[in-house]
Amino acid sequence: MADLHRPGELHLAVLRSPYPHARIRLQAVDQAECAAGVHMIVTAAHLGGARIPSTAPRPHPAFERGVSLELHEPPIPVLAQDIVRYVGESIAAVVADSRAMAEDATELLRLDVWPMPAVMDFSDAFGGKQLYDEVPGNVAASIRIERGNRPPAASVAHTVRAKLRIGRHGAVPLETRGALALPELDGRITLWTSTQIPHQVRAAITTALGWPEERLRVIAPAVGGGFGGKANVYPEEVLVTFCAATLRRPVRWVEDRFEHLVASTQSRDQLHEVELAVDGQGTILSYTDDFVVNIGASNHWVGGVIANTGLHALGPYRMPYVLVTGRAVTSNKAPSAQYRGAGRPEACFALERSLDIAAAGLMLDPFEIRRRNLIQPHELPYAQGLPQRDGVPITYDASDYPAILETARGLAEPESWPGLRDTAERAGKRFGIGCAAYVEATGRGPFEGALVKVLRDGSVDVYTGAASAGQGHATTLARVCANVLGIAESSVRVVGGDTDLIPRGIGTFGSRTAVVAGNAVHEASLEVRARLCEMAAEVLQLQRNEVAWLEGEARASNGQRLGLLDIASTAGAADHLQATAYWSPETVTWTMGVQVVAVEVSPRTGAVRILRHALAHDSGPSLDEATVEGQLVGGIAQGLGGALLEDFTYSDEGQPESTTLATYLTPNCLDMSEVRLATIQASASNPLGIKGVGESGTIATMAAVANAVSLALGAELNETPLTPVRVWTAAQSGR
Amino acid sequence: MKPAAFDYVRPTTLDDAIDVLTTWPQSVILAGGQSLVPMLNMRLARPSAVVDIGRLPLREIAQIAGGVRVSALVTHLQLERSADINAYLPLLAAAAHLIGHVAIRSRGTIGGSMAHADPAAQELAVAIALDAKVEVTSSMGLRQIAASELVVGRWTTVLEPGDMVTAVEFPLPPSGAGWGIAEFKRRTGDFGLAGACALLWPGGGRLTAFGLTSAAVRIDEAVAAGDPAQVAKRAASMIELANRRDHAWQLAVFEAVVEEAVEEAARRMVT
Amino acid sequence: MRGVTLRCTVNGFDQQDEVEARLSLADWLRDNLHLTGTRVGCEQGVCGSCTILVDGLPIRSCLTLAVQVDGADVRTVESLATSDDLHPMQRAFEEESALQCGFCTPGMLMTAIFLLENPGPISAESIREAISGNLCRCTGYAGIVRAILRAAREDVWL
Repeated sequence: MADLHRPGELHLAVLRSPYPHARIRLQAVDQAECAAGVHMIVTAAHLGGARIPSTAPRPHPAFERGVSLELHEPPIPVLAQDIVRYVGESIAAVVADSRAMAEDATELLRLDVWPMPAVMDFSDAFGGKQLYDEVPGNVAASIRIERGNRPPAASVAHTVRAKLRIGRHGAVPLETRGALALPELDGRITLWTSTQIPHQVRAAITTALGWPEERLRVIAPAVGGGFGGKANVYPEEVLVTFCAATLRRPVRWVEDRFEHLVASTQSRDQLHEVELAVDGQGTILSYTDDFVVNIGASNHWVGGVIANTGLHALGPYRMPYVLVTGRAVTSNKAPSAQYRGAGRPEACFALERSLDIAAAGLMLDPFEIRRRNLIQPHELPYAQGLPQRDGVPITYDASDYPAILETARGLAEPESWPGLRDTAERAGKRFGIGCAAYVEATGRGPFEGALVKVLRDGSVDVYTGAASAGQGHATTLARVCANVLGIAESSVRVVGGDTDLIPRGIGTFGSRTAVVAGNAVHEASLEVRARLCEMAAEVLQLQRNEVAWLEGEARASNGQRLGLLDIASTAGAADHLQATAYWSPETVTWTMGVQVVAVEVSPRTGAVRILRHALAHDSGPSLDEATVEGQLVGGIAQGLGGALLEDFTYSDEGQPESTTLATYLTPNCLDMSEVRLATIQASASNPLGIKGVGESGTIATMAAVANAVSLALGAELNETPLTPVRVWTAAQSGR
Repeated sequence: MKPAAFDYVRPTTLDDAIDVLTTWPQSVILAGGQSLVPMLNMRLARPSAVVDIGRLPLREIAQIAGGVRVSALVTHLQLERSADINAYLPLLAAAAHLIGHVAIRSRGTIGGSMAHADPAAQELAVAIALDAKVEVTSSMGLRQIAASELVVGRWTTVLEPGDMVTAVEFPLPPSGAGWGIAEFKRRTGDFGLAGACALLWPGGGRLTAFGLTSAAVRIDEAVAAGDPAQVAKRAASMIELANRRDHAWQLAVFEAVVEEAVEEAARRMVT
Repeated sequence: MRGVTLRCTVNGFDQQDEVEARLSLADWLRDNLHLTGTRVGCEQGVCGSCTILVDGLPIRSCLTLAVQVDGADVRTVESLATSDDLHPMQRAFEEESALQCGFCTPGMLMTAIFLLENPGPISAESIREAISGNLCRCTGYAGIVRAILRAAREDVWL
């Protein structure tokens, strides 16, 4: 995004709140307006107190009923007016000739401040100061999921009770955000923005500014990583758009890393209180999980985060009774959003840690307790009994969970474990194995679209609402089209993320593009293929049923052939040789996987080293093997970050402490050990038979690592990240 | 962020540089920039003027009587790779190698490390370990300050406006002394959270703690405690942590690095 | 602000400019010379996306003022490919799926070029250490290490 420029562009900088919670009054605007190079200053008053509406797809009423979903979403102002609710919140914007000058001018603005108590953690939120009139008791959402019957007390041999905490961390892509708004000659505005959801951005900004939707075109350029952090609508996107329209000049904003770590969305930050009851063989009898999510000052996807967590809490196991209750609470931390996994890793952490604790209590091998509880192949497809967010009752797709478990275990080289343990112990370290299994909903709706168009030169364009941030859509979606049309991939050009090229779209997140956009491309390509045959039949003066499409050309039953280029270059062909398909999945595609990790732990320092790392994941047939592997390994890297390193911490006074990449630690090359991967390729029921993989690598990593370290130390590590301090402290109390 | 505006001069002689620093007491020195520029980029440092000393002839490593003289603008990478440093002061080369990553070491300077006085500064810790003397030039002339007296606290030295570190003179360690340096950090290339460097020779030794104290400090008495584990225990009882958060863990980690440094020194010692 | 004169060589071409002293080398390359391959990811020297070669050594261009490279020889990622062909290192990256979003790639490439231009044994280990100062958020590094190893073994590019 920062590569894009337009002559005559102006630069925007934002005055941000230095307080987590305060009443404010902005002063000295006139002074700042006179500063060198300043063209305009925008405050909440200029925007009429505009808010960013939530454009996230709404949950289905059947789902809301089925899980007793209650929502009280906090409003999201574009600019704070009288109250600020997090450090970094946007208060005013300055547009100047350069970014440096805009920053100079923001320093001339003054704030009158009346600080209020900061609500930071879960304990503060409940019973503490209510942050929004719209959010009673700071509870922005709640769900309740209950299924089955409680077991008779006599059958329970062992009950695990644990409190588990998943630390606050998030997307932190290497490319920060950015936006460039260009006024067009016809009065429209084109907004280039580093986003995963261009159509939603368009809808939200036009609503916020009271514009007709057609006035704004949103284009996502090459995006340098999203992971969910860019699947939101942000104030700066509204601001550059507004300023460009007002000044009739291009207006540009590039986020710096400090702004990103302080004010871009964060995620996770969940507390789970669980109770897992098992019988003498370790069979699960009941599981209750009461969880809370700290969504910070706001969240675009409030319903989504607790729904995902709740629905994935059951894992791939038979559970005679389950009760999951969850709440999302607002606080004066930065706004939050979905981040790779979006509730699944947290749910997995709670359940998988509990299983390991139960296994330890019964002296069972961790793999064995899972074998005894995994849903068996003959039980799949499995009616899980709860409704998915789209209202459809959840059914786990056919697969072989026990085989996946054994595959993962095998990949982690169990024959090497005794030797590794020996080596570790001789060096005064501890050795442990951890595994974690998960189910995963992928490919969610409501839809995605594709417009496939054959051009006069015989090449093909594919337009879609999916917006790549590095997931290789140019390859995968091109391949889907090329396969249908029998042409070379290199002649298919995929252009995603432009609201002018395709009118409706949802965006790229939630492991949905391959499945949903992929199937849309498939359907549209099939339609185009049919039209190619129709046109060929016309040209050859044959009946439609005498022409078939084979290997990239039309072939008639009488032996005649007509190439794609011949058809495409006939007059008027272009109008016919295109098709748009909006594909909606019947429901999400459920898949499953297992991660296994072997660790070496230093009880002296708390340092953790990964010795073996394996993932067996049912990815379905791959559109592109290298892309699937890249997604899985990349997902694991972020999972490791969450397990050991990444943490958005705040001081007691509510000041963010993780403000540079020197304090917010993401894994570097030496933090990763080689990952052994196995992708199982059971087909899903959608026409392409494929499943999503974008988030899969991340889901079980925290759980697997915590399980391994816990086993190594004979202690319980129930809080992420597993910092050296925490690990060391546990080591003091372990064996 | 973009830095706040500042005036900029790039003197080509030491005299000119000292002149500017004396005339503009609010100015700051820019050497490698690896500590200053991050602060400029956060607007944590907002000098009215920056004096770029990158042109000054301060890039020499020279053998002197009883030691090695390293001029202030010698980079960490040059120290790491210097044949003389590796031959005569391998502890210093090892310390330089621990700094950040190669792209930081290629620009960061030893003079900057001394003047910035980060508690985790490895070269400064070695200067203190080896009883080095820091040469400071000002309009009043040249003076030498013992490295241990240069630093008074975190990022705080006795240097005044108008002072410039121009060289560090390292005496050679006692003949046959073994050396070791160890750090604990979350990831390779991070600032060290706890560090120790040790020198051992028959009948004596030196131990320097850094990272978790507000300034690197000599705790030689610990060396007499016995084997590396005992030395480490003793050392942990002798230091004062700059930050009390998680102090039990900090001391445990410190013990581990002391043990490692002392073991290394013992292995290298010529008996 | 009075401009400061800057004269240096960038990718073999002489450059001369008058710039504000506070302008970073990264921003000068990207915004003034339109060499946008060099990225800015953190402005603190941590992420490595801004890594370029100056007088043959890797540096963080975000921690360097543009005026500091007066008189120096600057090489950015744009110096690698020719008009006809990718550099062998870039080809190796492509073939080994060493990039997803591509943001960290220029910094990785320049770090890798420096590694291979300097004597020393090349192994997966030495490569991993060399790129430990370049953060990637997408790939998990496996493909990047494979690519550099492959380019090193091919030895073609020297």
